Amino acid sequence: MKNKFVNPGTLLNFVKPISPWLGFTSVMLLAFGLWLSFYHSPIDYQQGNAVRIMYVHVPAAWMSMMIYTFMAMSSLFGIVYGHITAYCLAKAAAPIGATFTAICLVSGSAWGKPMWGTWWVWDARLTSVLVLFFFYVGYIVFSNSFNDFSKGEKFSSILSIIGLINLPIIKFSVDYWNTLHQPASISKIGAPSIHTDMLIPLLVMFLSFVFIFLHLLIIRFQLELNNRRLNIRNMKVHRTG
Amino acid sequence: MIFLKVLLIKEVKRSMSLRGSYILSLAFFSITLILLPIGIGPDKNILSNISPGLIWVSIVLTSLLSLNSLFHEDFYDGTLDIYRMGSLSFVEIAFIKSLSHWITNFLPLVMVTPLLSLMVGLPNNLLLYIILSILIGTPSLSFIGSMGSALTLSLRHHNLLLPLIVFPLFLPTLIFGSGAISSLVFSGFEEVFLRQMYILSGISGLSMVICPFITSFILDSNYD
Repeated sequence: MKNKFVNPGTLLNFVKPISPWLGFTSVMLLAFGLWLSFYHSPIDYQQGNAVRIMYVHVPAAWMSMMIYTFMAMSSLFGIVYGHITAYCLAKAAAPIGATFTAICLVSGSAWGKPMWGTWWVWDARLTSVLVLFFFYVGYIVFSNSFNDFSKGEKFSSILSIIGLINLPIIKFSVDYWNTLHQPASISKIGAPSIHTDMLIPLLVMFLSFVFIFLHLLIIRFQLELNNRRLNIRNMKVHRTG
Repeated sequence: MIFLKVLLIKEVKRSMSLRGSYILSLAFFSITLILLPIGIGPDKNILSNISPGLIWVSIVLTSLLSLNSLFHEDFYDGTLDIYRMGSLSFVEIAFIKSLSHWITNFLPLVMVTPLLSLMVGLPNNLLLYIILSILIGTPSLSFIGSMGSALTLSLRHHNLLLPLIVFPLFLPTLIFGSGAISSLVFSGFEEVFLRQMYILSGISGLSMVICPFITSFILDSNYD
């Protein structure tokens, strides 16, 4: 694959000026989305005001799965083509994804208490998202415990690709096991079964999360790159004595 | 084929000698199955309801303990290098190593399960079923775990990391293994039991086919 953005320096020079704008857009969208969700969205006739937790919970859940897919895909590229950029992107994305998963779990738990009367149930959806969180944690710990960068990147990439098996389980857990968690209402075949006044704040919040992800990803990508440079420099110093 | 047989016999013999790990995993299995009822309390009704879960949790914990040593010794004393130069591929070696891990670590557990199931109050008529579920389900633990064992080969703190990265992959086996027996405890859901056993054997068969390839890829990467 011949692409000039495969070079991490070129990619960094391209994305670095965009990064602050991404952060700015994200904060603006977040403020707008929160205003929409608190003042301009209807109250659910069954759930009352607690339905507003959805505007954080659902986008965070989408992000957690999206970031894992991103991570595994760039790991795959890393293994196939051996590009440093792909490895660094995967490694940079992992803690952000873990944070979104934690947000999803905590907000879901806070939503479950008034609605289901319990903080936690061992429902198929909840369990599989918890497993996703542990895949993230395992990946982060595992990828940071190698002294040898090239080996560590290859092995942690394999680990993240193995973990990909969990994503379809999360996606279809609400359809196959008929349990407490409600089934998907947006990505259904046909029209989404959600009112437009609720859909718009949801999408605004999702966009805001996407932008904050990209912003943080660029910052962490820089960090990973500098880490590598430092490592190579240390090795050189040791070799020359 | 003859090489595979020789290798399998050699691996099993080595693990079954006194310095092998099977005694340790047997002891660990017994310890967890003694500790769990003591922690839960001696109530016979509660214990007999949750006993399938207790036995399966102990099996998963035991396998996490014993998987560390699957490739470790062979990697560091150079046996794996010699295998690499020989006529066997890493796929075959990974398969044989996982199989011998299953024979030496899980078959002894099956031998003591009748005794220990008395102590956790498993209903007597379920003994045969739980042994069947252990026999069908545990190959997946060995074969999936071999991937984790190969991944953590070049790490210093490998014996703490392996459980963290491998346990999510063990969950399906645990869920369907204990779920199958639990469905028999509560009422006569023979259909549910059968369905879960089918899924369990599917997991085992699939992992036996797929995992040796992934493990051999990881083992190869160790020599880059």
